[in-house]
Amino acid sequence: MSENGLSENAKVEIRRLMAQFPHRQSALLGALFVAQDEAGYLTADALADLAAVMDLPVSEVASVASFYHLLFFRPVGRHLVQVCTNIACMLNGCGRILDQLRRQLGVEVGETTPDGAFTLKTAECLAACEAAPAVMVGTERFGLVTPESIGEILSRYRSAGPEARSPVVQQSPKPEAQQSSSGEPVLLKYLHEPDQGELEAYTARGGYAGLRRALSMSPEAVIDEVDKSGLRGRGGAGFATGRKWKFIPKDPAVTKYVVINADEGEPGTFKDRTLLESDPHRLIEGIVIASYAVGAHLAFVYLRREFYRARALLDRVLAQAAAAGLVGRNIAGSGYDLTIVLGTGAGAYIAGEETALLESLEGRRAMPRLKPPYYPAVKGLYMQPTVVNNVETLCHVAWILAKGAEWYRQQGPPVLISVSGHVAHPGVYEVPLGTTIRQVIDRAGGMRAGRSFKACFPGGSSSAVLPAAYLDTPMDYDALAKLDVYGSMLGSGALIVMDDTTCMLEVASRTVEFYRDESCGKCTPCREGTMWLGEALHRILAGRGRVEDLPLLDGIARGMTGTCFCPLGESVPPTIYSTLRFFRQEYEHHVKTGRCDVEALA
Amino acid sequence: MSQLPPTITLTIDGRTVSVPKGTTVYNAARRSGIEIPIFCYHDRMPPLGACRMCLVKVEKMPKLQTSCTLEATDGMTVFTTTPEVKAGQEAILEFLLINHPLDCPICDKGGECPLQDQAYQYGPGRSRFVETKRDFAKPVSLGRVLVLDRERCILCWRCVRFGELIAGDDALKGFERGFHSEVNTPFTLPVKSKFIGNTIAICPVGALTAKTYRFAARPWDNQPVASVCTLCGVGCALEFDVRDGAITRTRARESPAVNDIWLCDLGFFGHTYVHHQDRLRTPLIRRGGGLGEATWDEALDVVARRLRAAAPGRVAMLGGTRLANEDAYVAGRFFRSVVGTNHLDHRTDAPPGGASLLAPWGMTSSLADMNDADVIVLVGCDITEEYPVIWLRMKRALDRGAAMIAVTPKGLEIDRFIAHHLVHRYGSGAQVVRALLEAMSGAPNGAGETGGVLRDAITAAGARLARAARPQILIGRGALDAPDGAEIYGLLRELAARLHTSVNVMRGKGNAFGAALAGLLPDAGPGGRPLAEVRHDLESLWGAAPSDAAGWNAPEIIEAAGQGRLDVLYVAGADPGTDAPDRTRWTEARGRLPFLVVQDAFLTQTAQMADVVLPALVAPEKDGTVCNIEGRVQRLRAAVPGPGESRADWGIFAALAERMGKVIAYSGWEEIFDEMRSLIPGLEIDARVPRQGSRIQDPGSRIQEARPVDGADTDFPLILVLGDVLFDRGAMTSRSTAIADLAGEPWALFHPEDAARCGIGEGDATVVRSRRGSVAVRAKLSPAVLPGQVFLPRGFDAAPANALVDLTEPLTRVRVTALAPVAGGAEGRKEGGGPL
Repeated sequence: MSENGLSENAKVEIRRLMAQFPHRQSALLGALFVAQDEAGYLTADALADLAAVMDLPVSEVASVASFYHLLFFRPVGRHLVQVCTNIACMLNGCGRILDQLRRQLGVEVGETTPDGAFTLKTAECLAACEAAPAVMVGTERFGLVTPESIGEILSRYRSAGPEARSPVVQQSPKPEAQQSSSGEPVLLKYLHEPDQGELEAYTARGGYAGLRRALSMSPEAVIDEVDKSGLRGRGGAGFATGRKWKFIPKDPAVTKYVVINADEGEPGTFKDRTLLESDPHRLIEGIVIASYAVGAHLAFVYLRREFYRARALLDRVLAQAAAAGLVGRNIAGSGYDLTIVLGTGAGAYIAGEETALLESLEGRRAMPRLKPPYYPAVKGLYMQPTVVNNVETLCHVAWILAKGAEWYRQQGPPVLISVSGHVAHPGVYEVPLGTTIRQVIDRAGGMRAGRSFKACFPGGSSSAVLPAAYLDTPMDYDALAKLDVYGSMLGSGALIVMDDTTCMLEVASRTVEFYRDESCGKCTPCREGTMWLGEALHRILAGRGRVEDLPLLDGIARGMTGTCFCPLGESVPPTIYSTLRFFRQEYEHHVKTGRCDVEALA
Repeated sequence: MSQLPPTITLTIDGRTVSVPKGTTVYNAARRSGIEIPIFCYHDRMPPLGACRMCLVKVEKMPKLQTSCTLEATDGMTVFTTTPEVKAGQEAILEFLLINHPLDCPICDKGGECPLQDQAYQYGPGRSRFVETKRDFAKPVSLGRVLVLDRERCILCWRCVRFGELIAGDDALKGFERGFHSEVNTPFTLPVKSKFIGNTIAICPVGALTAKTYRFAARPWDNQPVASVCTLCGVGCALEFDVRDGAITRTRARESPAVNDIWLCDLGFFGHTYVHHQDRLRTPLIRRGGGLGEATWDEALDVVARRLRAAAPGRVAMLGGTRLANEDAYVAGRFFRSVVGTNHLDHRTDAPPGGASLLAPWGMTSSLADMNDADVIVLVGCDITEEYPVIWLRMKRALDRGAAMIAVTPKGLEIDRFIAHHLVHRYGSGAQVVRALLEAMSGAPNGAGETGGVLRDAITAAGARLARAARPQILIGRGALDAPDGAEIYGLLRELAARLHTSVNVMRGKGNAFGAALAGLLPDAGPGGRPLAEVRHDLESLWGAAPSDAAGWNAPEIIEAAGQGRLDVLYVAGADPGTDAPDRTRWTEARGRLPFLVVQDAFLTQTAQMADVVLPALVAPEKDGTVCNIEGRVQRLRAAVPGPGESRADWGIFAALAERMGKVIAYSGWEEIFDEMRSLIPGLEIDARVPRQGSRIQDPGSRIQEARPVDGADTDFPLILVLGDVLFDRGAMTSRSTAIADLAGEPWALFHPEDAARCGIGEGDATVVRSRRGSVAVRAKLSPAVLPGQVFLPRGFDAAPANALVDLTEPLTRVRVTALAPVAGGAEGRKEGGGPL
């Protein structure tokens, strides 16, 4: 209708997306990308057209769009260059990559080259820490980027001509993902099989046996089996999966949903992406089992936007599974029906929080819901009972049903640890639950030559930082939680290792900035506390620290502790407390001298 | 047979508190007089838990809890003042203040600011913040009435949730996220809302302020006067804040039965006309072609002389909706007993022979009943434009699962909330309602015409209607005054009978209900009682019996004037020049009328043609009572004195009576009200009285056969649909500058296809012309109107819709042409042709 409005094709595509969901607004994020792909950004006319097609208020559409960092209200270049600057990439020199890009493109972060080819942006953890520093150009991910390789990467897009976008999804250099060196790995068993994403190969290797077995059992028996396995959720909270499923009412008249949290974004975590890219059928198998167990007939995969490769693979394997009768109507002749729909994120870490994820999946701003009453199992997606499970969790489920709870427990039980930072071989490692931090670091090749261990995040940047004294702590839920360090936890199993070259204030500052930028802004302490901490740390790092800043940082963190609406804000104090406690002399050096001297301190 | 919810008992700060199960700790504390600071929670919305200010300590819970989200349970032990709680409150307040500009000395909220108050009472008293505060451009204008200061905003989300949960207009939204979060409109465009004043009222800081009140007063300078809004028929309770004899602002006053705590923006910003310089200050008398100032003595003498000279049956009175009950009653007494005529009618805008003259105006349901409806049938009524605050109640019902069935000739702004919207061709509403009745009875799909509405949609609506347990049926002016209005009304009465309910007649602005109640109807005296029945009572009270000659209704009065059968027409609190359905007919009537008296506050269209104009007070200057559309009697209190020599309407009638040798003497409004109470059972302040009006006759019997509405007219291809809008530019609204700005220039709504065919685009200057006349309007394009129809709002003096109407035709047909700007800025016609 209007000059910068949506094309008819775009409207058709948006209507197709709307038809996938019980409530049309759920298609909003996908629809916004359809609109964005037309003009490169969201024009006011396109938003108005989109609102009309979806019968939503324009204000709602614009409000939702503005929440997500991958949706743009201003023109961007044909190729969006995103440099990950989160902890793992910071530890591996992303600063030099960014400098090099600034020089080569001649623009600052947030700017677009005069020819309209490139826009340079920073990104939060791209879940590619095994190949840090990581960069995305358009939909393609590049790992182990060096200042030298930047030119080559850019030239591919430069030569592509002015009209070329980057539709092709290309794998980054082979990830350094590793499996257990002792014993038979479970989840990573077929990590390096190139054809594992093919239904035939997957089935030939025993795939979908768990599904067939589950369908031969009663739903209650399936839940019992998972309960007996002792499996705890691998998204971060570590809640017992079987118990979670038991919360779902049995009444068949009640509509239930299964939602898969594939929004992996906890800094230092990349095991879900690794599973999605290497063994996608396993996830589908787990989804069908979980849905069968709780009586859901509709499951949604909330997939992180940046996981373009995983999205293409999931589209493919879903089609294969559907063609083989493993998804859809009357699955494997059992009479059980399940539809799996792929949703999309749009650049928001908070959408990994389960109630925020549900909001986002309903097409709204990803702001966490009040619990109670909005426990997903009671009032979840569309206010119906909902199970929200993480990708790795459901891959475990597929194995548990295939091989039995007893067998599974004997395997450790296994757990995936994403190891990143200053180790010789960053990657995903499968270890028995309870392997010590030291053993995991050894598995990853130990520290780099000539360097010594200084500290680590055992469970992603939401956990406290642990110094060398805690290296022999077992990596399991209880042992880490029971430490005398506030906020120590296994979390999503992301071990970020830092050596003696690391400035802990920089780590604290970067961590705080991450939560500041990812805070939804709903509650006061998270919104204001992260901003204040960030400003204060920035000032100290800039050489304008004051002695009273140490109690100030502690005081701000205390104001946030136990007062935030959701776990995001509560994830910040542990970093402040633990760095102040274990690396106090570093803070003191900064505020007294105005300089950082990590080498001298070490 | 509802059971009381079980009670639970908890301890708060050592005090034992018993509350119904389901109560939050915050509300339990408040109930027992324990104050807990809070920002985001508002008791008209569910808890949010965002500001984190209301932290309390609960025994056996490791962390502090937000009391607004925590349900009180039996045996719970709560502390609100422990050092831990105090530290938590101080932390949150410190966080809230780090980015707050603390520009309290120049902030309108100063003195009535929850942030100021709570920082004073619970804050740390100092800040450790040495960084640079977040910086936003400010203040930002969001349209004609709203100003946004994002630096002051503490992101409590109240305003956003008001739009989402209460008004349903999503006017203000959250944008960006984290510490970049801000409340705004998309692209900072003017806010689109009819209720935005409420967001200013519930903003706990000075982030949202009113342009009409910025820097006008400090709260302690204002003297609040509790009164009632008379600008539509809802009668919302409000407070005028008065400083130095002038109204500085209007605020809602809590009235659970009427407006709860809300107002619409006409109520908030529509009272500035009171102080407009155009207010009439002295009587005017026509001398030598022009109206000139005169003294009251001169003016009253002239009027009294003309009234005495005329035969009683050749005098008529029109008006009443802008009068208070007491004014209307005294007017009735004056004309019936002093002048001796029964030609009285307040329904100046009713077309002859239409349903508006048959149906008794007003609601039989209470406004509060709307909340409990499970099906709302809305026929020919644009609720947000006509009675906006009633929509807030309907929205609550819809949120609780009620279904709305709307039968209207165009889309509505609340479309998103209407489960079954049957948008029909104008003039076909009866077909739709008939089909709906059939569908409700489970009859198979008939074959008759349904005005372009799909049969399946009607069937679905009928099925829902059949299951209705607490239905509400409302008919509005759009249906009553349609060519098939009487038929629609009759069918709805049938529907209501089947559902054991009655039809709410959403008709009449201001105090129309009170005017009818007071007896400003041709065939009914006070209380709606037939004159024959009430004659004896009136005679004993008034000392003279009312005439027993039959009275004329408003169209008959205008017709009589046009036929030279009237000597004096007295218009009070009405503007037939603008309101009468057929302007040409009115103008002709005026031409043959020997003497026209107009009693009003402004020189209205009618007053400009008058022989004598008497300056009257307006509602905010009056003491007395008014009735709203549900018949609730409410107290009007004078906030300010009237300008110049303007007088209370009833006082003018009393003075005229004196000059005519009769005594109408009251000490004040109370005495009049007492006399009315003796005639009208149930007339008590704050009580509802049953609606009054003409006897209902069989709707079919008095109506001529509906004339065919089909048949194209190639010269005038479009059908005109008229409607009332909230923001217009009439005598008063054009002088409430905020409302005039919100209304904008006169406009008309076209379907994009018609617009394309006529070569007009959005915002183009156009002329809408019928065989009768033409108006110049800006074109708005929207698929909300059906192709082949044009929607033209009433209420714009510069584009009088009644100039297009010819009452001898059932439908008004128009054509539209674009105006092209010509050199020099004047507007000329794009195409040649006759005069405008």
